[in-house]
Amino acid sequence: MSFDANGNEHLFIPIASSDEFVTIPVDDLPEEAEDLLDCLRAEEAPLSLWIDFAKAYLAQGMMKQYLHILNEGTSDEVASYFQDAKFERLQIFCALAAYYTAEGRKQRDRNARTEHFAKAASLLVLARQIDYGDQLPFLGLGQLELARGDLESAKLHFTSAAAAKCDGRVNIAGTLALASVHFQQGHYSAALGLYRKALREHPGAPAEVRLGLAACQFRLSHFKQAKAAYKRTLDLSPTCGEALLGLTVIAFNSRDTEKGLREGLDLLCRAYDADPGQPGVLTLLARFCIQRGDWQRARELAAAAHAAAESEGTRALALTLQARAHHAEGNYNHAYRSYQQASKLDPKLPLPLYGLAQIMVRQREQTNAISLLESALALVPGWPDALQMVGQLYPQAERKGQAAIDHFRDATEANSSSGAVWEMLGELLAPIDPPGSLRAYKRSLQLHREAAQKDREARLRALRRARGDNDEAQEEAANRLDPLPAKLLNNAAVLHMRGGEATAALDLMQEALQAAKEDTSGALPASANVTLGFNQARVQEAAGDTQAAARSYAAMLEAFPGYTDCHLRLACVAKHRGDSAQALLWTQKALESKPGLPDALAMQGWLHLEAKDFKRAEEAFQALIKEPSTKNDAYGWLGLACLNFASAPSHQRLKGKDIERAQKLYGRAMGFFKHILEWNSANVYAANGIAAVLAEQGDIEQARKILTQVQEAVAASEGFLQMPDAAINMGNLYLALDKPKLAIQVYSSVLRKSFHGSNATLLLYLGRAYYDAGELKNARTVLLKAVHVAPSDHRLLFNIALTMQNYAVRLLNLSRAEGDLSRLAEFDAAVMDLLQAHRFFEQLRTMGHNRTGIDPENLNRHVDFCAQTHHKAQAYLQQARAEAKVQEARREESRVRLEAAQRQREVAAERLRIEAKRRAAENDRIARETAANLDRMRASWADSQALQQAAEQGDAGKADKRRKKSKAGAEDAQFYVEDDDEADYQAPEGQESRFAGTGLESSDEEEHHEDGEEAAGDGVDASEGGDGDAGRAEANGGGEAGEMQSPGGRTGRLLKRPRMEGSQEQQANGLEDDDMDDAVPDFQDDMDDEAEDQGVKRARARSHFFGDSDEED
Amino acid sequence: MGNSRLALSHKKEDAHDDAIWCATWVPNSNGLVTGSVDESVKIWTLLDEQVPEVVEDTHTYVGHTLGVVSVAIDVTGTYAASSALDSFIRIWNLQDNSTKAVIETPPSETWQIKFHPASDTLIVAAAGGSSSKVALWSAEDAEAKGHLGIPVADEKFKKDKFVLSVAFSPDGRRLACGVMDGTIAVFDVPSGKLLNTLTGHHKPVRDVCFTPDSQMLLTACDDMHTHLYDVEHAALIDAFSGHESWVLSVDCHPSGTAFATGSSDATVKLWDLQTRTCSQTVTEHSDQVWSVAWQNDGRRLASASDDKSIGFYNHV
Repeated sequence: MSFDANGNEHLFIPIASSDEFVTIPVDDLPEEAEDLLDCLRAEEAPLSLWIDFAKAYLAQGMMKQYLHILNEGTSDEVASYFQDAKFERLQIFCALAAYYTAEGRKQRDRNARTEHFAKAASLLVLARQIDYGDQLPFLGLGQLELARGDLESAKLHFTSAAAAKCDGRVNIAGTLALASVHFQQGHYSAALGLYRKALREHPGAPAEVRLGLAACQFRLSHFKQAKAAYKRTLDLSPTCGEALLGLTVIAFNSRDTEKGLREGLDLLCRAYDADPGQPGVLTLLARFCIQRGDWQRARELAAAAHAAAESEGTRALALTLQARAHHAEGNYNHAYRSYQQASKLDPKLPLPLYGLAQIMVRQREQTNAISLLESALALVPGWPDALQMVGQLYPQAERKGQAAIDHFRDATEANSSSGAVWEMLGELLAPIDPPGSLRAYKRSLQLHREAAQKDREARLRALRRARGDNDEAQEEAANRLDPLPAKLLNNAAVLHMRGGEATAALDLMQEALQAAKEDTSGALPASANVTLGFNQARVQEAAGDTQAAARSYAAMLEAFPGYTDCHLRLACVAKHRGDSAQALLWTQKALESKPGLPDALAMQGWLHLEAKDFKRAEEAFQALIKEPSTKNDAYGWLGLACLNFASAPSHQRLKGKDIERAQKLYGRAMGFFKHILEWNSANVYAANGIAAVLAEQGDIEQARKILTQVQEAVAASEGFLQMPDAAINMGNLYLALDKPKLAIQVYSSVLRKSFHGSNATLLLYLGRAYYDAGELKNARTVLLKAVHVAPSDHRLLFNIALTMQNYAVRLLNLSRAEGDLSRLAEFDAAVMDLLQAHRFFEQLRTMGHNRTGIDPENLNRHVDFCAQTHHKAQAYLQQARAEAKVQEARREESRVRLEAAQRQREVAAERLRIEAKRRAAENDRIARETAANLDRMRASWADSQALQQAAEQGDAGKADKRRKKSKAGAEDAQFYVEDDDEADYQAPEGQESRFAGTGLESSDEEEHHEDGEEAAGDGVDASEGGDGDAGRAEANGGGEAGEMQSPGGRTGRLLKRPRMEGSQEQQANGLEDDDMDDAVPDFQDDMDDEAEDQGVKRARARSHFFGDSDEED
Repeated sequence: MGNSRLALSHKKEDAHDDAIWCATWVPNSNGLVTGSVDESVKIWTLLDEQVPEVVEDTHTYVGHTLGVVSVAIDVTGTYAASSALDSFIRIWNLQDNSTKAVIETPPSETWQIKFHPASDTLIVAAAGGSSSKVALWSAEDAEAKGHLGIPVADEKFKKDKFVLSVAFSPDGRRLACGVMDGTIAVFDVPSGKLLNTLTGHHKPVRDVCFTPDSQMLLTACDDMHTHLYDVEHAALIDAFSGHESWVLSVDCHPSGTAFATGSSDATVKLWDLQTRTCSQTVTEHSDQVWSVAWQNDGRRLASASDDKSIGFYNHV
């Protein structure tokens, strides 16, 4: 081929056996290819010329002629005539095969496709028969496999091609084809290696090799190298659109946004100029226009890109851009259609899903939007935009159950290492799963801190690189960690606080305030500082620094007098400090500022309830639920329920009308609790209330089931729900079910976890549980600790006295091994405890029923019992001593006898005797030491008895009145009771205590029953006669005490007696067992305190709710 | 002083068999006296010539039959007094551990006790519990020396007027007592007259302590606060918050610049009286800290806890 003077291309056919040529211009080829072939055959032209002409036809788009020459070229004649022109023949076969491959690719019909591919394949087989080692057929086969969609087979053929030579020369075509396949498969490194190899083998390779290289580098994020490669491509081929596009994308993504944008735009324009139809360029331009808000042009460009696109992916992208332009223009129908088309073309493209979700939200189809977003998130886990949107949607839409959220959460947790995503997750979970939310926030904080750390390191590195000697100020600036977002810190702090991590919350809040101060971006709204200030105070309050908190609240009220949250917090602070009057004042102020404020009303109700002002409490709660907007306010209903529950007459001594009234009130309380559960089935407070009512009504089993569930819910909340009530109720239930060991566990754990070990009522319950479990010593210690905490509690005094009394009886009755030395000490302790118990009972009796609320008759009985038991103990000791004496004499006798009979044991027996003497001496010493103490106690005993008698006279009237009222079933006498004369509302009691009442009563009834028997059998117990005449009982008691005096002196001697015979002793004890064991063990629980605690607990819960509202940022 | 801190120098684990309820230093010595629910009173001696310091259990005083609520030592360091739930006050000689006197009071009518710091004879003041008064006893012969009664408006509320705590001013002229209902009564000791009633608390005041200048009073209250009052003007000067549960015990540093508190939240806090802030929170205990006590020279603090242990700290 050559060019003539006019620049036209010509082909020359050498004329046989001459130096002449026939000149044929390529743009004027003969219409009939056969004519040309005739000429070629006639002049015996080489086969390569055939190929040249075929190419020329192809270049002119004259397909028919091209194929004609190729077909002729594959004929047998040609094969035999041009036997040596192997490569040319092979070329012809391959060219024809390439044609069929391309044709096959175009065919829509599957059969036609297969047919074409088969033809191509057979041609290639023929080609290979000409020369097995040549590269061309391999390339053809590879292309064919590619067309068939079999990348792996194509790769095999291309690998062979890369190794083969083309017409005996090295050719990089195979390598390039292989690289291309790798690239398509996403094996960018492998592709890169091959392109590099090609370039090494053929340094002058065409621009495409450079382009491939650049594309690989780009995909591998080696932007610097990619940029260089693209530039090299442009050097070779200045109008290469793809190279320009690549450079544009790199420029747009560069760190220096402004410069990158300028450069990118410039490049994009060049690319557009160079190749206006390049879909990539069009897409990019469209995208750019969208960013600029030029919707119309974006739409046009995207449409053009769509038309020019070669692959479905590109088309889908173009459609998405079109849709976005429509979307932005408010053309929702078009947008919807385009998004859908795009999504159909490429289901893996997340953007159309997101767009569709947006349109769904517009049409209020939240459920659809959520499922679209979930699909998008499945494609791109942790996509912030989608997460944020779905997060906002979940609470709005009817929740699809925990499963959806779990799925979503798992996806996020597994895939995301972005602090922002975790923050969003935390925000999303806050209302539904606070513990999960707290975890998410913690993770977010950690990731943010790590990122800040990394940034600082990078800054420092950059600084050191930039200059040898460091400017200190700059170094310092670089060394500072970037503050975390104030919003994140604030919200995380609030969650930490709600989770009970007050100290951590305080630190975070401090950080948040600092961050807000430094934040100059204006991202925080002006109101944020107020919120931050309030939250800081709130967190300080939670961490125990109520003074600082109160100061902040007050200061905020100065600045914003209508900030009722501050009023309410101040009310809470006052309430916690026990200053209910002040608390009421604050709620009143809140109500003045915002009439009808639900939280203020609720709090007033609770304050009144706590103060047992039932009427005003009810008014407040009623006012709250009367408002239509708050008619389902859980606190209002809960308040009403508790009010009814608390005002029901105490269970213990109900008669006729009272029972009816109690049932009515319980029924009402139950109704209110149920109402709450209807609105919020997860309200544990209501559930707990229901359990309490059930237990009160005797349905223990059902109550237990509910309480178990409540406790599980509380446990699952990981500290976000603080509800010791449920656990206490459970403990009371265990007591009622006669499982004191379990009750002990429950009480101990609640006491430790929720009350810092200091709660007299709980200690009392615990003492009661130990008492029921028969662990009197522990009961005694626990009750002493309770008395130490609440020394003015008469009921505690009564109970500790009772426990000591019974403990003493137990010690006296305990069987011991012979010669047990602990015996004397324990006897001593027992007698001490009896005396101590006697003193306490005495004291309570002296105080009188008015102050203690304890039935004097009951006290009388205990005073007498102690005296009597003490007396019996002495008598018994005397008896035991006498018997022991006999025993000793007997033993002495037998010793002598044995001595006579068995001489050999004499020495050993003698030793025994000496030992016995030694012990006797030791016991003597111990007894002497304690004797003084005992004597003194006994003296005081006498005094107090005298005093008691004197006091009794003054008290007798009251005792009498009391007796008349309670018509004296001995059962009633067993219980000292609260003064229940108040007419309207009966002395209110907390749920638990009431509950415990249930348990107590049953056991007490039993005990009392036995007590009755005891009294009947023994006829000594003074109180038994209490039915008749108090005076007599008193006299009786006094008489006993009088008797006590005289044996007192003797006891000292008695106690000195060393070891008694165990068997004898037990026998002796057996006689007295009944008396002692059945000692009236009625156990009283304090109820006032309990009610108070209840209030505090609720107040605490209340404050949590306030906390909720703080969270909004 | 502003940066003063407590550094644990020794921790005595299982100092008693059960919870320790009270502790006080023997003046001018390295001896500490503690009382426990285990009914015993123990004397500990700190041997500081050794490094690390050693704490020896030098004596166990027995005689109480119920838990020991309060211990006190007279200014000379010669006599100790202890009161217990058995409602006996026992006075004994620290030199030979012999019992000097035993005072019996009605049950629950004796709580915290203190020695008169400036009288010719040994006088013990006992917070009177349910009798709503502070009783004065002669420690020489166990004779009653009168009482300082707080007014009770209504017999029915007498329960709320249980007197829990008592303290003499260092000059001996004033006596303050903390009451169950949160009030604090201040008496003029020579005349026995009620001077002021300090208000502000609404829950039990379990401990009171004068500042060394006798002008101000510190309190420990179940409302989780410590108050600082001007005693003569009956004015609340400041309130200190920070404990997360009841404040059980308070003791002012002899220099008057700091004080320490112990709480149910198991912490000991050190407060700066000049800046009026908490300067340190010590978390050595695992249960209620019932008592904190400064040594006379202010070099050491001891803390006694429900966890049966005693903490000794150097004040640095």
